[in-house]
Amino acid sequence: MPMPALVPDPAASTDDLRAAQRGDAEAFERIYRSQVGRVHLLALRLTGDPVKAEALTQDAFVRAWRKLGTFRGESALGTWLHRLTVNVFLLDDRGARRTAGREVVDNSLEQLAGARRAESLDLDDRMDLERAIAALPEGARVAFVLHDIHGYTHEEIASLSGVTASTVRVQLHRARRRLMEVLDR
Amino acid sequence: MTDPRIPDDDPRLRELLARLPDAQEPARDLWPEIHARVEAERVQELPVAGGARRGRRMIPLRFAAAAAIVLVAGTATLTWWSRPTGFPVVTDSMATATYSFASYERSAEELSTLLAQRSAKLDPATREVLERSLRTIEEALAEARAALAREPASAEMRAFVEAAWRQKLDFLRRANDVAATWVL
Repeated sequence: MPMPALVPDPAASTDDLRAAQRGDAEAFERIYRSQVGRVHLLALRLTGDPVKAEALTQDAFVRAWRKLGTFRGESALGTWLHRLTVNVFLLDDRGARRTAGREVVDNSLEQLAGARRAESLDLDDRMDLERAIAALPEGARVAFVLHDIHGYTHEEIASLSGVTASTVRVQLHRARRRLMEVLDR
Repeated sequence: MTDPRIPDDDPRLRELLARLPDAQEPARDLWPEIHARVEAERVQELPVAGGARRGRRMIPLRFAAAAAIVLVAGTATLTWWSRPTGFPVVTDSMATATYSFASYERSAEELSTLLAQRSAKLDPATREVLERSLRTIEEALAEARAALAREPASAEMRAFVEAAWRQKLDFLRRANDVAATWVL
């Protein structure tokens, strides 16, 4: 059966897509290079942490490699990768990341990093919106990033996050209020 | 035209959102680690050798998670390593030859160099926390590698070493993040 035509994606060639689907790692690397900026920025906004963003970016591309055979080109590859990254963050690995048994090492690091982030937030008058978003509590940050930046509906976010749409609305309200407070400083 | 997603009363927020970039490259190249993980999966997907079970089987993902837990808990006895029945053993010499941790080693070296530069400016107590944690992880990695050397064809041991490498790289990335904010 002939494969369906792929939706053109300016950042990834159809040849590379087809080759990667057949298991060509070099073609997949070219796809990675063309898409990593968008995936990484999304990961950065979702996690609010450059270190976690690197881990999420890697997880998303490894997942993409596994699932590439199911990509039928009904949307642009970038759109597919975007959804996949959100799914990896919200549905799969977030719980694992929280309970991966890394507390012995991580707690000390997280405390050190958290203290420094909070301190720099108060001291830096030139803090931009990205940093303000990163400083939001996780639920509020995810609701804001997915709804206000990427256009997900309350219901979609609720479904992915395992909370109610009302909760998403409350988190979104808190996020906006907090960001406005920061901008008013 | 107003954006229905943004409240009408915060035009500044709407304006800022419109100016946000849509891409940002990571600070370092993540491909070597992604490539290593992809290649590792190729090995794990090889057919199981021998016996009646000749289907394609995957090492359960929870194995890697369990390995990480054991690593960080500092378990040294490794009695847990007694291989449970049912794990595939890769005996294909080609698979053994193509499997490499070189990418992990390169990334670890790069991150360690960066951390050495940054940690010089940390206060002694913080540096001690990082060094102690890193020693624990490196000891566990050394033990995992020794076990793999004893059973070089074991997919289980390979997965365990891979989990140890990922644990080390994850720690180094986090430590570098802490050190960077300290320096700034």
